[in-house]
Amino acid sequence: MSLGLPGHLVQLTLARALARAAHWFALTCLMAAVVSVGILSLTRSPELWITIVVVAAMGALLILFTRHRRITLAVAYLIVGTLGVYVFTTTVLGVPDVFPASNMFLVALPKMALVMVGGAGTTALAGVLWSTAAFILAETAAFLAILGTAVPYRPDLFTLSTYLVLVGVMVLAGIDRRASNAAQPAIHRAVQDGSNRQLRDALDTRAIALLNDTTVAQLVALSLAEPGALSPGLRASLNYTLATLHDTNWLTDIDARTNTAPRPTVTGTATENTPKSPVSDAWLSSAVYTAIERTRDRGLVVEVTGDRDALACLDAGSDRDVGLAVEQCLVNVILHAGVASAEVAIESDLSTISLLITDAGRGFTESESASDRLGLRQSVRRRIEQLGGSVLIWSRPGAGTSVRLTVPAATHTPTNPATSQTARNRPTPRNPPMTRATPPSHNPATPRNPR
Amino acid sequence: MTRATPTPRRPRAPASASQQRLDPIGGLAAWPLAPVVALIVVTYAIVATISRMHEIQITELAAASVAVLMIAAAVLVWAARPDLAPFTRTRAVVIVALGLAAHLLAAASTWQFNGMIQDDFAPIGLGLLLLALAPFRPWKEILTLGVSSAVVVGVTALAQSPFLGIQTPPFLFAIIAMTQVLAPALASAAYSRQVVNSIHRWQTDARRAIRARTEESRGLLATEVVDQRLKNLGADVLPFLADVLERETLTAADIKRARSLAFQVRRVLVAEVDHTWLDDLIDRERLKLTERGLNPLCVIADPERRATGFDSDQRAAVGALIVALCRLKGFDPTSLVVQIDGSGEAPADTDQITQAFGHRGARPTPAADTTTIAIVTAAEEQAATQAKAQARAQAQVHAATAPRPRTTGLSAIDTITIQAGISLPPFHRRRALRPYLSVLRAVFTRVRVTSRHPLLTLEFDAERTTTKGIK
Repeated sequence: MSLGLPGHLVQLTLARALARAAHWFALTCLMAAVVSVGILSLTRSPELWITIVVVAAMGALLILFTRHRRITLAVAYLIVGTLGVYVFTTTVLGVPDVFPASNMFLVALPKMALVMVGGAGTTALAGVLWSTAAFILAETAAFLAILGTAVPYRPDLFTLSTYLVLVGVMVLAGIDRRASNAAQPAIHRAVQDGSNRQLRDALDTRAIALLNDTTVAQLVALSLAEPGALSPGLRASLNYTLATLHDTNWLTDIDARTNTAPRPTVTGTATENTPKSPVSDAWLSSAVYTAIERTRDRGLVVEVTGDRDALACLDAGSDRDVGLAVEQCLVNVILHAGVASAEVAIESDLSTISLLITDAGRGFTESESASDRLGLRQSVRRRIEQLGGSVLIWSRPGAGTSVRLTVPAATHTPTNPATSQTARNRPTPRNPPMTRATPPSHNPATPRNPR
Repeated sequence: MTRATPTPRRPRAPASASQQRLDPIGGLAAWPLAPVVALIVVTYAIVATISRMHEIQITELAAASVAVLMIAAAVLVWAARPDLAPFTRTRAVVIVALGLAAHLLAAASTWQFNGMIQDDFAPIGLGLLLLALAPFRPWKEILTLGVSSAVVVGVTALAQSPFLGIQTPPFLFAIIAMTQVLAPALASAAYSRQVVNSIHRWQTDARRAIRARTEESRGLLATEVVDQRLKNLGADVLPFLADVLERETLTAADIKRARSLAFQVRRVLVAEVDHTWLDDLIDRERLKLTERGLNPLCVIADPERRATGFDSDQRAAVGALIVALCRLKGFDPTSLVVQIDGSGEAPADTDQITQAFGHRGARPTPAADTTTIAIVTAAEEQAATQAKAQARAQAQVHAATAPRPRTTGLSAIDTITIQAGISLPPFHRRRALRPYLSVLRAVFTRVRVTSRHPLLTLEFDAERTTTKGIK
């Protein structure tokens, strides 16, 4: 991941992390102290119980301070800690005939814990000041305590070096990052640019697909027509193309529709689809229906079979894209197949909706399609893949063409109108790679009779 | 699709996350910690050994102990070097293992004659080494290493307890020794955890903000795209269609014209479809260089459109690097070459047509028909052709000389080579590019930088486990 912290957050973040580290260091020292004096008081000197109380009090204040980070708590920790160091040092070193000198690690433990108060400073300077104060207080308290015992005084290097390391780390954290100030915003910008470009790509994909559907298809249709008066079909499609392209909002429109609430899903009775059931609103308002109607206007006989109401499972955006993809497939039939009829079969299961567009026309080979790959590639495949679906194409010269579009369906729960919206964010089901796909259940060369 | 998700829940940082991985530039700033700690560890070991000469029974072991600890410190400095990032788990384990070995050797050298546990240098050294891991390794790993080291140190202290100068319960020695390791180790783990969580939280928010910003510009982008498309469509197509519609008749000339226009438009669209984000990026930089009054010549050689397989982090890292290179003082605007090749399948982004009738073994169509895309300013088409040939030749040389890593299964490795001429002193160049390289190292593997003044060559690998199209 490349999005690092921006300059204005660095100090705060490092200060927090250092505070956390300092608190754990201090807690470990206090716990070690409690366990050690606990063992000592059990085995040797029962009078050490007072040190357990003192250290426990320090620990409790430290935890409070970690939670709330208030100055009053820091001051309280300093005061209690200084007293604690005094009591701890006096009592522990007062145990006869154990410790040869004052510079025992055990005695240094509460002092090191006290020095760590500085880690909570929000800036390096504040941190250094706090720990310096704590260091001076702790050493003074310990020195006074040692004077009252029979043990000879030796300077305590443990606390001193802990103090120095802490100060060093805080200073290091305080002065870092000056060199890389320019790079972080540059990375951030690059991520933003990438995100914009991704959106732009998606819009571009859609735009190219749409242009291919309208303009290129129109030009190809004109180039294949006979000279003379325009046929009604051609006129209708020319009108449609020009109207689409002149409408400057063609891209944003699609987009706006994607964001609108999905159409209400069909009621339970309508999902029980039979050819005789009344044609439902869901089917008539779907973009697939509009697409089919449009190609029917251009003279293609399109037979629709299967579960038409399943299309209600698509949200507005998916519906529109599937409609455009179906239209492109049917336009391909008009332009290339050399037959006047095609069949659209709609199937659905719980998670996906499939549309099988079949014709018994000329068919094509790979090499032929390579020169004309834009239509299938952009208008059909990319569109469907953007929805998280997949496209399978079966074709052979002379044996017709079948295209199967599979798109994920929204979870079909009529009580929850927001489902198709959430479906867009759901991981899409992986479709098997096409090389392993099985051909459709029937031979597309001989179109099946409608039920 | 990039769409802002309304869920406010923040995902947890991955367990393998460290400050260096999440925030490579921040990790860069933390690197001086390693040499400082190494210096302290070594100095303390030497001073402590000299001052305890009377306790040492086997001088060779003591010397060996200091030497091993020095090696551990050296490994730490080496492992933390920004140009060798990322700091791997193996490096951390080796450092701690060396530290433990030094500890055992030191304990052996003073066996039965150790006066006090607390002035042993090895536990403190070990603790400091663990402390230095904080910016580089995940907290759980530091914790595990710390606890296991503490156990070893504690056991050695227990074993030495009968011979020590102070008469206290043996467990006390174990606690003292363990605290010297555990306190810095826990502090280190706490730091790592807190920093990683903070960065991760910020990244989640930042990504959300970026998505929101992108969504805001959606309308603007859409208008731009439409404008550009209509402009590319040429002034011819729409008037022609309108004209035909108005006349209501088709002439033979119309049909011919329609055919040629269809061919042209399709050609333009196909070229657009083959455009990748990398082309866009270079286009933009080229424009900026031209605006600065330079004559840029930037070449992209990505015949298989492998750039489409990069994820957003990788795109951002490469993008930021290229932008930085182009804006560097002393950058030679005619020298930039970006080349992507590699092993394994190219990302599947092209049409695949299955022919299931007749023969069973269906196979996908070959990839895009473009071989090398080189785009240049209009005035320099000739130079472009040359550069294209050069790039192709380079690609061939590269293909012939560079060893191809073998891949198995679905994984594929893309090798990206970026070449640029920069007439800056090496020191300045290194300093300017260091942050970008640190980011590159966090998202790519095997980043190699070679420099033959003034030519700078960066090579790095991207591993893809699945082949995906546009992301």
